[in-house]
Amino acid sequence: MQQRTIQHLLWRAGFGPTIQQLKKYQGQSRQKVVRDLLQQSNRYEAIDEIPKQLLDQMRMAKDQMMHGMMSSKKELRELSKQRNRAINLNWLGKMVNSSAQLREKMALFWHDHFACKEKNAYFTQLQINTLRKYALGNFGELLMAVAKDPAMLKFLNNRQNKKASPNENFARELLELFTLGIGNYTEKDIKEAARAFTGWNFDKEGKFVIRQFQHDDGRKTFMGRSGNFGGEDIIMILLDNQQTAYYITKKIYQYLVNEEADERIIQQLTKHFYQSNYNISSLIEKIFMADWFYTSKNIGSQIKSPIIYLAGLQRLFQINFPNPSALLRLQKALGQQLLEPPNVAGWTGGKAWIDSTTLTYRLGIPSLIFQEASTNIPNMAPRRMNKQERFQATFDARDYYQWLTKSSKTDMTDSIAQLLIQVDIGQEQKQVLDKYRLDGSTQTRINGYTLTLLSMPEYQLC
Amino acid sequence: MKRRNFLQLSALASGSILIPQFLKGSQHFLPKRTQSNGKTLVVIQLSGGNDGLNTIVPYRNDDYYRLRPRLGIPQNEVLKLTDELGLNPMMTGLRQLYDNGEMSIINNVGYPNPNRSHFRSMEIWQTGSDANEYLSSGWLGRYLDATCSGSCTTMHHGIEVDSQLSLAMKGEKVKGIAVQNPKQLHQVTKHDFYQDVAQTAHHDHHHDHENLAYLYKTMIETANSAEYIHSKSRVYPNKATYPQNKLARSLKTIAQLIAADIDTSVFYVSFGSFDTHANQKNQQNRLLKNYSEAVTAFVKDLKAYRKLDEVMIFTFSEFGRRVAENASGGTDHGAANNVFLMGGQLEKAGFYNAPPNLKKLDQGDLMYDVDFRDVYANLLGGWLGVNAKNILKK
Repeated sequence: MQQRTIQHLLWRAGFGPTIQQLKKYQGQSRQKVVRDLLQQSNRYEAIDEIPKQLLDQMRMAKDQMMHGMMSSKKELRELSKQRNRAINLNWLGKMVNSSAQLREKMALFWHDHFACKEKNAYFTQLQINTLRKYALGNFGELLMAVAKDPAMLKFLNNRQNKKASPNENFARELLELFTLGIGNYTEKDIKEAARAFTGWNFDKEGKFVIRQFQHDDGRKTFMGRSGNFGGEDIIMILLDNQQTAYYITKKIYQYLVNEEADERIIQQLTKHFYQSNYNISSLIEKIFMADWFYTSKNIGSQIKSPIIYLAGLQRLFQINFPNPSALLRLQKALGQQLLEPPNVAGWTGGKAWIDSTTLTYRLGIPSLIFQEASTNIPNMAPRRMNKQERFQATFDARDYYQWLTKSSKTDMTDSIAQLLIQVDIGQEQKQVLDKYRLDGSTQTRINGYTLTLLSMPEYQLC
Repeated sequence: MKRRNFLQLSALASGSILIPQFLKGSQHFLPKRTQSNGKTLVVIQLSGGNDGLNTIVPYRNDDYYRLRPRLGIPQNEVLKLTDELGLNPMMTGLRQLYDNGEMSIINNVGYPNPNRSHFRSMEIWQTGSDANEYLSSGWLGRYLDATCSGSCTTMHHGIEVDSQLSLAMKGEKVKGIAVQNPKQLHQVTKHDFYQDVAQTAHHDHHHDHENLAYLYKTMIETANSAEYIHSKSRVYPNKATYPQNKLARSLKTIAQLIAADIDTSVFYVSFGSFDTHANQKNQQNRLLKNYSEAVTAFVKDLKAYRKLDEVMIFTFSEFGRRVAENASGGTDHGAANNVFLMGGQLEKAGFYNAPPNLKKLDQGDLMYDVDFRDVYANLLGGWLGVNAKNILKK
């Protein structure tokens, strides 16, 4: 494989290239690289930031609160926030450092697909781990696991869904957002599905239970079938419907390939996905093995989401923030915070990532992070960010320098551009880049040119 | 290039080179919109859920005092407006506006199946959606879409005085611009590097690459609007004395821009936090005092510049609060709430509708009798003069 196509694959199958990966995959066959990426992601390691005892502690604190010790409520909330932040940073760290890149990349996809917010950090951790664990497995198993996770049972009110007073929230989103997509079911289907999920709940350990006395075990008619359905039956019926395979395939295609859907290709992929009984990694392998995946129409066609932007930058330059809260601030400023999807429909994505403010931040962030590097680029970070020294970072670019100095290209600037930018750079842009070249040692020249490129609109694409 | 040469170059580079030829109009680079009627809407968002019942107090209502034994504002402290309703005692400025016929209050505004989550309910208000509908554009953003014909190259028709742009201000095609401080944003976008890069945007190679073209377009528009807004700020001095608080500082900036005849029809500011679960009294009173003083100064300023007749100020919050106080001297998340309109050209000054009915509650919360989208429809259709139906998708 050629460098740009390897990089394309690494941006889509993960969070962008490291020099190590480029060295490893250079010249290898597509099949070998894709197989290796899949294999690297076989490993699953749970995020273990929050001990289970937290549940007992929270119960105790709640008891205390009920007995009039009100001050603990605020403390408890603050503590929970801190713990959720720890999970956020832990997961972002995995996106940067884990060799299971594809797993984390797909877990981020499912985090958007099954968008959910949860205050209880232990439940948050359970859910993120569910998404990560099943990220490349079987979609049916993933869906079933998510539906039974305390975070989702809480978020979409399935816990309040009782025989006497059904709550339709989960049933509606299950059909509209998680499986079929809007317009492929009736209001009656939602009502009947809601009845089937009555009584779904979890115990004090967070373990899934069905409270039989709240469950409506009467006859339901759902999507043309009748029976004394429970929630699992509803999910099985939805999986049996090829529309679900189409809806998920299309979304995955738009995430990994191009926002602009190619219906012909999506139909083919849908068939494969459905016939493989919703095998996610098989679908992904098919995508990454296809010739159309590597056409220029798809390379560099996407606007990096803030998480991909931040993880990608950290990966290549081994950036480390002594004060990790910088990463939380950056997520917020750029408009995407892990564990905080805007609503159950997830992030809008695409062009919606970019407005005057977020683009100004993006163009300024590299000069903020690399402020120690000698450079010609004026520090363009908005003053509000600039004042905060906590953004200062350390980075280890030894691999990066070595790669560039060993490059076969006659002009080192071309090698830098090739490494950082996934689209062709126009002549006009090249002139601007030339204007800001730095004289001096090799390292100074590399630093200057690198920072210039990182501060360009082109770097926002992958 | 050496650092010193670079600095010299930057001195040369600042100024007018930024605007690519293809964007330059005959004499001014900013094309006029097709449908602006010269009116301005200023939206003030009270974040966190303002307790409307302690803002506009039903001081003759026994249920109010029964459900709020500690939090209820004593009758003799209320600034009485009608036989039934009066203002929180901190809002003496608003009393003046009310007496001048420059304030209108709509009670019981909300929507069916109210959501009690801050985030979700705010999103519903900002997008103008139903409770079970998810829209990715804001109602004011869609107004910007509707008033822009062809390729809109400016963002400053909608300005949010903040460091981040709210969903309300993001349309499907056009987005407003967030500016905390016009000078600071201008400083960033007038950097020679920023300008040099933006300058390259008119070359063809982007045109077949949609996202790249969009990035460059955003870059240019940001610079254009930042430059334009900066040129309109601090031209005219404020003619009123503002108090020291965040809302007042934002409104002060807006007043300067309006005085300078800026081509902006929507301004947006938020203020809070009104999320008073505990010890509500002090916090809410302080915030309402700030709000009242800031708005009063703003109205005075606009009046001095003879602009009040062209401005409508609309204040809302994502929900009201539970009617009954809780055990910690606060109130929990509620539903329907009052909204305020202020300006020199109100259709109906004073109270628009009946006070809230405290006998008929939904899970302890006020029920709505005016849908907030009907208020939006009036602001869009009646005030800004556009077809509200298309924008609200109703």
